[in-house]
Amino acid sequence: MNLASSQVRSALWTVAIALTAASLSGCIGAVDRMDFDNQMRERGGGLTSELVRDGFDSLAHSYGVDAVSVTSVDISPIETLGITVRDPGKPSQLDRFSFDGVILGEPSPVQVSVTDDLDARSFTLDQVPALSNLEKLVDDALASSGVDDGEVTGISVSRTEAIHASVMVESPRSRVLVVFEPDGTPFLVQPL
Amino acid sequence: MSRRIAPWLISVVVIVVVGIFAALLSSVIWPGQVAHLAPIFCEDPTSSAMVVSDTFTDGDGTSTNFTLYCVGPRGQTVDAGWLLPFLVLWGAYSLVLAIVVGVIGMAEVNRRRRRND
Repeated sequence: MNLASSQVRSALWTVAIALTAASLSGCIGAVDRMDFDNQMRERGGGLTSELVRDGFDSLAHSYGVDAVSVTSVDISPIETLGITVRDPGKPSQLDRFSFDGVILGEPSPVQVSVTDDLDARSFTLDQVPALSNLEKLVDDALASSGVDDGEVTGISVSRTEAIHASVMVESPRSRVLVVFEPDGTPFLVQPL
Repeated sequence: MSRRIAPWLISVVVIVVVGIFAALLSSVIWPGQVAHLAPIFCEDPTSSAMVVSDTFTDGDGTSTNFTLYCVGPRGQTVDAGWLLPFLVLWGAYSLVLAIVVGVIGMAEVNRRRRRND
């Protein structure tokens, strides 16, 4: 009887200590922020067509137009979209916006040089069908890069002579830039 | 106040107060249980949930905040906050307590009836 009583007592102490330790650490079932961010990056960093579509829709809504004309689109994990837009009311001016998947940030002005030809640099979302299937672009970039355990760390779309989407694939040991045509056809694979 | 209503009112208040303590204590020990509320707070394509902890250290000591995130297969994330999931958890604990108290109360009433018969 005494033995059973002491076993129960020690079991209760063990449970009490475990609960105290758990309550102090507060970790059962919760993931630390850094681990969470790493896990989300491994899954693809939230680089989806929905992010781009929602970002462009929010921009069009904020300007009160159907579609906006932009000079650059930068997408990075985790769900960060940066867009440089031509103000529809003043097409000679550029504004920079950020979008996190839900909230469109305040515009910040961008300096424009007198030599900049904004008509030649700007494009619309319709002109880059690859952005409407961003998941495929990410998968194709990973496959084309040939990088083992690579992750897409950034996508940048701009127009110089033609529109191109540049996807940066990185691993702890290497870095490769994969450039696509607007329709998503791989154009160039450049190890860096 | 009627003699019939008073016990019910006291029971409800006790259940609600004990429920909030149970929810508070259990969510500190096991914050991950809130992830099981994904069907209520998360929609496709971010239909699964994770609880993320942020630990801060300042002059007053160390504190930890928890946040429920709905996550998708491509690493999409939606911040579902903590207050609303906690309120739902509180409701669930209070409901379980109410059922337990109700079962015990009915058993007690039946026992008294049998004794009076």
